[in-house]
Amino acid sequence: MITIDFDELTEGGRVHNLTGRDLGRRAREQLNLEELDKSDDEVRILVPDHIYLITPSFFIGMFAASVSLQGSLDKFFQKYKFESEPSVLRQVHDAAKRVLSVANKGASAPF
Amino acid sequence: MDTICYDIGPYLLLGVMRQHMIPNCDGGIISQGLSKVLQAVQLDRLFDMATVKHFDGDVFPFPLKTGARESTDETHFGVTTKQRAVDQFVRALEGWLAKLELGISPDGRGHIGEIIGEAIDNAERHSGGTSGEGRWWMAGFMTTRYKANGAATYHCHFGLLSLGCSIADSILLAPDEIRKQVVGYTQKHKSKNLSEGTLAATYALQDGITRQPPGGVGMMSLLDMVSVLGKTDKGVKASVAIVSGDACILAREPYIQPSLELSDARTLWFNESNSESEKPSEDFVKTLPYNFPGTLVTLRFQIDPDHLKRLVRGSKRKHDNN
Repeated sequence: MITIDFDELTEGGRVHNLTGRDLGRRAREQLNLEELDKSDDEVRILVPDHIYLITPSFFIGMFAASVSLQGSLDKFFQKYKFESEPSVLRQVHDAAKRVLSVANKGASAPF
Repeated sequence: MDTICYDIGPYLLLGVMRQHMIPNCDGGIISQGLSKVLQAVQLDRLFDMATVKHFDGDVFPFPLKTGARESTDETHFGVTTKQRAVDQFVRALEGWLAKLELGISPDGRGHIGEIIGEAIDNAERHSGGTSGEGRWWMAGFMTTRYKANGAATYHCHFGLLSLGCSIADSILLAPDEIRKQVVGYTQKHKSKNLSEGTLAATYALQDGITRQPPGGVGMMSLLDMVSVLGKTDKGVKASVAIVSGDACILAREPYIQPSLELSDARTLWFNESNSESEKPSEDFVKTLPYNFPGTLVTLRFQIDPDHLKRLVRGSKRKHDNN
C-alpha cells in the first residue's frame, strides 16, 4: 500500500486547510496520481488531525479525474483510503459525490 | 458623513482605488467611529490616514488580507495566501462567537472555512478570466453597539473584492450546456431596466451554475450561512450585496434564504414564487448605469446569541433523536 501524508501539503501544520483547485491540481501532479490511478495499489491518505477543511475545489483539482476513472464512490474509496477526522471525511465524501454526479450527467467538465 | 461603518465594502473598494489615484487630495474629516473601524481592520494604511488612539475595544477585526492566483508551475507545494486567509477568518469568527459564549463544532468550522475558501478561490480563478492574475482583498469586523437600555448588540461585517472579469463575463465562458441556460434566462427577462449582464450574474448565483463544473455552490452557501448566522427577530436584518459588472444584487429579507429544490440544488430567484420563469424583483436586482470591472461581495448581519443558542439546542435534539 502506498501512503500519502497531507501534512506535507500544509508544510507541517503551517496552515490547517487545503483550499483551491490550483493547489489540488499541483498536488495531483507532484504525487503522480495519474500513475497511481492506473496501478492496482491501494493508496492510504493520511489527513492529520490539525486539518479541519478540505474544500470541494481542492478535492476536485486533486481527485476528480480519479473519481471519474473509478466510476463509483465505492470503487474510489476502496482504492483511496482516507484516514481523517469524521468531519473532514464527510467533506471528502460530499465532494466525491458532487464529482460523480457531474461525471454521470456526461457534462463536459474541464477538471 | 457616516458616523459608524454600515458597510465595509465601499471602504475596501475606495482604499484599493486610492492606490491608483494621483495623490492630489489630502486631508478630510472622518468620524471617530469610522476611523476606529478603518484602523482596526488596517484599511487606514490604504487611505494613508493619521493614526488616532482609540481607547474603547468594541471593534473585533479581521484585518485586511490581499492575495492573487499563485503560479501553478512551482515544483513544491507551498502554503498559499488563500489558505492562511481562510484559517485567519475562521479563527476571527470563532473569536467573535467566543465573546458571546458560543462555540463552533468541527463541522461548523469546516463549513465556514469552505464558504470563505471557495469564495476566494472563485475570486482568483473567475475574476482572473482564463489567464489573469485574479487579485482579491478582504476585510471584516464585529462590533458591539449599545441600545438606550444598555443592552449590547453584535454586528458583523465582511467584504471581498476582486478586480478583473465580472460574474457575467466569467459565466459566459462556461461549457455549452450551462451557457445555454444562462442565455435562455437572460433572453426571457431582459428589459429596459434589467440588462443581459445583470440577469446573467443573477443566474450564476444559483447552485450548479459555474464556469468550471462541478461546483458553483459557493454563493448559495454564503447566503445560507448569512441567513442562519444573522437570523434575528429583534434587530438589524442580514443583507448581502453583490456588485459585479453592471449588476447590483441585494439579498435581504424576504429574498436572502435560498430554497432547496427537489434536484438538491438551491435557488434564489428574487421573486415571490422563487421561480426561474418569472423576472427578479427590481428592488433587489438592479442594472447599474456603469460597468464595475470585477466583483464586490459585502455582507452584514447581527448575531443574536439567543437565536444561535436555540439553533444549537435544536440541532442537538435532532442529532440525539437520530
